[in-house]
Amino acid sequence: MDGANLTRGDALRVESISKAFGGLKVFHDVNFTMPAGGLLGVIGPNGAGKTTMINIISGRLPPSSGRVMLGDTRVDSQPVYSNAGRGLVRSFQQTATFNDNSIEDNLLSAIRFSGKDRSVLERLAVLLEKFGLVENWRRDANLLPYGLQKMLGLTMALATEPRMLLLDEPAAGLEKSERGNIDDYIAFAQTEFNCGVLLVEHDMDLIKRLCPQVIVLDGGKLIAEGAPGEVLARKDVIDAYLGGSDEEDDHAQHS
Amino acid sequence: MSNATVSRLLERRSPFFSGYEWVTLALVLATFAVPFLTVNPQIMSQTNLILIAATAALGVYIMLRMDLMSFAVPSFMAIGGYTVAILSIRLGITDVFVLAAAAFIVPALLAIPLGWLILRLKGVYFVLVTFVLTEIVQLLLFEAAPLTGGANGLVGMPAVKIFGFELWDNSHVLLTTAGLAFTGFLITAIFTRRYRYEFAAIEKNDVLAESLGLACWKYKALAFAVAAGVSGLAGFALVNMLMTAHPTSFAPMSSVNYITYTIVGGKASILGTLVGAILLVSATDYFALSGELSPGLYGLLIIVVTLVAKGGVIGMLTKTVQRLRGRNGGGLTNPKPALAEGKS
Amino acid sequence: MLSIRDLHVAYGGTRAVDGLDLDVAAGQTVLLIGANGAGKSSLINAVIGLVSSARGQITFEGRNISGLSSDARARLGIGYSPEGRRVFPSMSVKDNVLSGAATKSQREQSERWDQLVASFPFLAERQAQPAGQLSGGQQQLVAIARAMSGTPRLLLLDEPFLGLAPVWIQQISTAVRQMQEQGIAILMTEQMARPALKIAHYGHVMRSGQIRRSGTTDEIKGAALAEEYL
Repeated sequence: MDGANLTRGDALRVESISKAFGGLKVFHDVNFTMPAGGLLGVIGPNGAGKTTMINIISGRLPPSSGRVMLGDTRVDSQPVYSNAGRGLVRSFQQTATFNDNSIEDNLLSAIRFSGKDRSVLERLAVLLEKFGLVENWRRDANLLPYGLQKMLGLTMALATEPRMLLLDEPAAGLEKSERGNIDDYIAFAQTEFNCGVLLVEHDMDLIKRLCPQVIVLDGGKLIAEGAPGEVLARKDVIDAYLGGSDEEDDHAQHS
Repeated sequence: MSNATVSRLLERRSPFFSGYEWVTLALVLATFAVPFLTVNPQIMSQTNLILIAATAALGVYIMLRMDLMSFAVPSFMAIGGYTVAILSIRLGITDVFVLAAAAFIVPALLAIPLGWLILRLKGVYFVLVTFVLTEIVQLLLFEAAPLTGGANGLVGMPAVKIFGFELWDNSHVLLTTAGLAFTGFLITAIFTRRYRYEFAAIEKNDVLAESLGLACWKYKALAFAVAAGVSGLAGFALVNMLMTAHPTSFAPMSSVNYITYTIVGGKASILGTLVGAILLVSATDYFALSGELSPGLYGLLIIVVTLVAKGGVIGMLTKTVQRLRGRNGGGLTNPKPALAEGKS
Repeated sequence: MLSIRDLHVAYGGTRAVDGLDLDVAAGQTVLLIGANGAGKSSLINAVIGLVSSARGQITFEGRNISGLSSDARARLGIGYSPEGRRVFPSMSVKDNVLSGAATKSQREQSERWDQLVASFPFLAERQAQPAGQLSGGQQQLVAIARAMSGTPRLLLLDEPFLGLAPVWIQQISTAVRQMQEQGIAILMTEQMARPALKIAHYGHVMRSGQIRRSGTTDEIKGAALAEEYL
């Protein structure tokens, strides 16, 4: 495993990343750092390139210029599987599981592909039980309710014992009553695996609740960075992302 | 609570071989008995043809684990067959073990650089390129006359030997074929079960598999090489039966036959490939279908099966048995109808 | 406007919708809430005619549409935005949006386009770009605009806010309010109950294919029962 020489919890540094598809510029000179074991929220309007950023960090898309470093290792433009071997693992916006395969087989696949041991499942037991995966252990993933499929996909990422998780809208499509699972999931990843988490989300309650730090992407640039309280109160962020003030319930967002 | 629960859930390990593998291997093994039970040349020749067809079609079966439809089987059969012919005629090597090893290894090795080129293609592009490959190999067989004998082929192969004993008559030829077929089936069964998680993951969602750390290309390349090797064994059996290596034995259109055996029999399990070959080779013989016509009829048959019974013969039987028993399938251990009906 | 009586939808052995009655009046927005699998999407799909197993009576503007194909229902004035980003990937954003108004005249189409652009400025920025190149959330907005472009008299929205930034949720809410003023009826599902309840007049809580609780949005908000969904 390439990951063996990696120390626990390396910082992730995104250094002057630019990306263009043909003539279309997605990013221009984006920089940010995620401390080891930290939790960083990423928000921004639809099409701001949040998923593209995850694709670049995980190695799926090469940047046009710039680089991404995990500790001392350059991870951009590396094969996705070798980055996963380094502990840099991403989740997907829509449900991503192996259809026609049971929850058990899905989890065992994740363990196998990352070269880990079945004993990981014992570490994950609390989560497996809490999310309702244990009761459905032998049911095929595609027959599960949406929320359960989503939690299975996320738990599979954890079964690889990641060092750095890139989560692409984990709460999207979840019911209100299921959203607490995301809190538990992230807390578990941080305490049990000492894992850094990059969280792309539109659920502002979730972002405010969990993230000590957020960055805002818009128009291919990083337009704001800081604690959610300050960042979400900024006028440019409100204009680009949060919109006008008809959200009377979201008192926290205005200063 | 939970640790115990999870360990208990994991206790039920899935067996390495499913029932399908055991039945298939037993059936192939049983053909060793045919020469001892009958001297009817018709039955022996029929058994021979079925075994060769089934072994060749394993090349299709292996690639279909990853939802890749390969027309390349005749190419690798030709490489295996010609390798054996050249070794035995030109170099006088007749030991069956050495020849079988060469018939497997040479196509497998050649498949690696080829795979590197074409495995990045998906869906219909992969299909097209594998078909073009059979045409190229066919052309090379005709053009590389100094090595391949050109349009005359390589004739006058000496009988192969096992531990110095010559395998020369009809029953010996069938035993040789049965040995090669059993080797091919055993390799395929072990290979596809050993990497069943990897192949299922690549078939269902390769992007997810990669994000969890699976180097998909390695498994695709390995599968392409093993499929080529097993096809090469079938090529050996074919030239050994004909005592000739000739380009027409490896006609590009014959690739349709191998695909038909696997799809009609049922692509979800290895038994499907064997059953498909048994049914279709027998039917071809029974209805005295000419070789020219069969690709057209087979094409039609594929369409019918795809429309009416996606799981093929075995898929339908499995479904019926499960309905009678009223039970559910159990993950990857037993291919279920759901798996048998996978996208085609 | 829309009236559903004794609707049943079953897939295999499971009853997704189980003997359900529902009415939507002109200008009224009705919100369906409930857990995933409660039958909300099945109900919407039955109204637009995408499930073959639907039994029961569906009446639209006094006409029984139960036997009609989905394209015939669309021509009668039912607009539909499916759950999860279904756009024509190689067509431009503008063509995608106006494909919902294909039966309208050139002039009406361009008027409609101008109105939609006023609601969703994003559409103008990207009008010539193939929709397949957009991000997931952007495709979602295109699908909603497409459903609105035919000036339907009944609009079906299945999870319109899924994966959208707050600013776009507001734009959609504003556009929905404008449609309400024009007397357009709306039947929608949404997990994000809070913004959804702001635009709806009436709500139904669904469970196991049936309506378990109904009321005005204030009643639904207040009901203790709704707590688990809100």
